[in-house]
Amino acid sequence: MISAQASADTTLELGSCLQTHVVNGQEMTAGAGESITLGNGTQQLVVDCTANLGRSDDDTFPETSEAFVLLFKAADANLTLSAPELQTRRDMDSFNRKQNFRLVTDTGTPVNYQVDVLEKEGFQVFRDYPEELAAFNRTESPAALLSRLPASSGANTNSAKPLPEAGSQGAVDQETVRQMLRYWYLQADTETRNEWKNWIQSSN
Amino acid sequence: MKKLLLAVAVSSVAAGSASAATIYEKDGFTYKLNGDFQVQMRQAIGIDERAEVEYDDLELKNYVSYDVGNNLTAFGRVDFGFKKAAEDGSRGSNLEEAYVGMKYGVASFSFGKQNFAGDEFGVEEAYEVETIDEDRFDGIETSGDDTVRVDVELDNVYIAASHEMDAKDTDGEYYDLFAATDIADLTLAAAYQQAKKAGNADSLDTWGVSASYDFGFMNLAADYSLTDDNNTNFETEQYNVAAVFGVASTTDVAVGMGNKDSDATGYEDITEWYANVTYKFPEAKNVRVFAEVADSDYKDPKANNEEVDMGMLAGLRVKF
Repeated sequence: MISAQASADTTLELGSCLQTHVVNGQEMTAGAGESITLGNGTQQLVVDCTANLGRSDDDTFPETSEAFVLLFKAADANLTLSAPELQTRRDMDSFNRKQNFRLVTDTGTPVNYQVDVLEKEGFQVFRDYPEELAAFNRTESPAALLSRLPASSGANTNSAKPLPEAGSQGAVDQETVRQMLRYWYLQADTETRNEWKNWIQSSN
Repeated sequence: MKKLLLAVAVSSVAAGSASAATIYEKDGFTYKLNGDFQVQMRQAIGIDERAEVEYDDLELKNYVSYDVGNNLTAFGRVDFGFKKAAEDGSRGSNLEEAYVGMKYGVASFSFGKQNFAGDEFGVEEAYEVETIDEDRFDGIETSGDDTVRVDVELDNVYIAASHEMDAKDTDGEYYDLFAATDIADLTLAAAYQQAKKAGNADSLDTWGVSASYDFGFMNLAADYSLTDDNNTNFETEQYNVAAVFGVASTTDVAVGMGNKDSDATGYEDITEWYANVTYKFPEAKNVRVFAEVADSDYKDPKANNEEVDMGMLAGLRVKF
């Protein structure tokens, strides 16, 4: 993450209560008030917010929000990411629902981002965030880092399905395979198409 | 130390904290575990008191909830406290709270062993209050075993009402009402309790009002509460004033005093004051160390009406 050319990087300062777990695919724990250096381009983080909730000091206890995946683009910018101030259970429920982070530049200009919940069912105590994020990135969530299938011209475009992982267990969905093959064939020039036809013939 | 929300303290938890509370979550079911361990070295206010280890609290709090659809949540809480067992090995229940309920939108309804609505009242900021009560509600009763309670949490208003049913036990019957509102940096609250203790012909009626203001660098608060005993026609009143200063991002200093008076024959009013400091570790703000000094003008009848000596304590508190 650390670039030799510091002036050509994006920095992100984390607001109070926030903690990162994964930054651009790498496991990284950074907390409130810390600044992390990102490269330029598309950024993806896994963050959550831990706040003390309750009506009085005796009755406040720490509670952590859902883990969120944030996706945004940035280049040569100093950004600040913050969450609203959470003091009650109701505030936390609202934040989990609205996911209303604030991502701004150093001049206060808001930066667009995509956000979604990184769901995990079952025991929450020991989470493998990098692995969960890898699985998340194979979904169609707007916050997923996905090589999406662009709509192929004239082809049968069903709603995009998750890319099958090489070596994944279970049969690969053939409809997805058909779409991919069809798309790349239409993208190929004449020379490449001929090479491909020759390969098919020689491999059968 | 109870009621005043330490607005000057940083409410967030610093980096490196493990994700808190939720242990298990699946298919709309959630289980949360919280804990509160507080151990003190304390020399109580009194005559010839000795320092000793005191436990306050040793709590394990379990909360479960089910999303049953249509914006409805079923929930239950079972909290255990082990301070009595730790202090004197006393046998008996370590159960502090045990209740179930349903939540719909901003309102929740619960029944079981829990605190009354009047328990929400009060602004005092001491770690230990010894010669007087925290407020009149604490002086009468603040929890029961047969308690039905409703809580409504709106944007700037919080209302709670509870009823301790007149069951076959000897706990008595209580009706409590509490309301608080936030107007910018000002918090106002009011509470009322009608208590019919077992064996009493008539009720004890308690009401109270409080205000606290967040100046940013400090928080100032005061409360006043009064109990009208319809059995004896005596009135007992208390007031508290407390100030909390955020001297650093990790450190709060609180000073305050409370006064208790009654028009019962021969009652001499008691004033207790305290000053404490709390340090929250920057890397783990739910770990704190604290120290307090306190004194009172109470004259102990068991010691020839001699005025009690100052008390002091120091301790460590861990919350999770």
